[in-house]
Amino acid sequence: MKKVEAIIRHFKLEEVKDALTEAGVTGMTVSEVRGFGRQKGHKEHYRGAEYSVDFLPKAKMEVVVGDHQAKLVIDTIIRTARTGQIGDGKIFVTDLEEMVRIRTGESGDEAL
Amino acid sequence: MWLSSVKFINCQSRQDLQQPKLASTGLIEVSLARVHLATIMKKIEAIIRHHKLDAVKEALMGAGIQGMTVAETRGYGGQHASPEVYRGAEYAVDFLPRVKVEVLVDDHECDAAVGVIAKAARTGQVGDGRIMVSKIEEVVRVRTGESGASAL
Repeated sequence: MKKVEAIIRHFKLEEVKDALTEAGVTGMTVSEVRGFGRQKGHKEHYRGAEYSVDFLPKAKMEVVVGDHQAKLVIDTIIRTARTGQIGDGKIFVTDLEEMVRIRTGESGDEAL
Repeated sequence: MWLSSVKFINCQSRQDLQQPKLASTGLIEVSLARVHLATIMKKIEAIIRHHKLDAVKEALMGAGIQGMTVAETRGYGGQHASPEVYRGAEYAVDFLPRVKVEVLVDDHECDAAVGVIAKAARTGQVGDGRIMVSKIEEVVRVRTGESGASAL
């Protein structure tokens, strides 16, 4: 199993969700996060003062899928979350050793 | 892993090391070496219901597992189609609020911890959440710079 974590723009979340649902992914977890990448935040004017915005708000979504589905999920996220502007986010993939559905105690692929 | 510890003993008893006085405390050395070699760390992430957080925390503390990180998340899983009532409001097909608990444990505690969380977080209703286990390569305590098992 793989866990695909994607840091994306908030307004892209619904679009990504719909695309993943269409691709057959049945669950995801989303958190509010802040971060910066290569653009190192940006400068912003607020009431005449200049603020450097280091950490920009983004949504982090986590999806757990079987190994064979990981590629499809990554491609789907890339396709739907992209605007082409700096700040589109990143996708991380990690190996997941185990997954347990709490209600039933099922583990492995049955818990996906 | 055990073999390496044994080799370490031999090494000590032959006094090959530069600090011969360590040989007399060979046992301590070996146990340290074993901990270092044996430590495989796991990260357990559990997506659970808010009202089960305290129960899970108590249960983990009862099992001797200290420390956790908690975050607010939203998500959906198998229950996707069915609406759910949360704090009096009905949430439709969309993202439902949950808490994510992250715990770092030593490999040998991992199964027990997963069991403890599953038991404490269960209501039997759809939407109880998931537990995910992954291997952690390195843990560092920021304050001291300690790494590995001693940073857990």
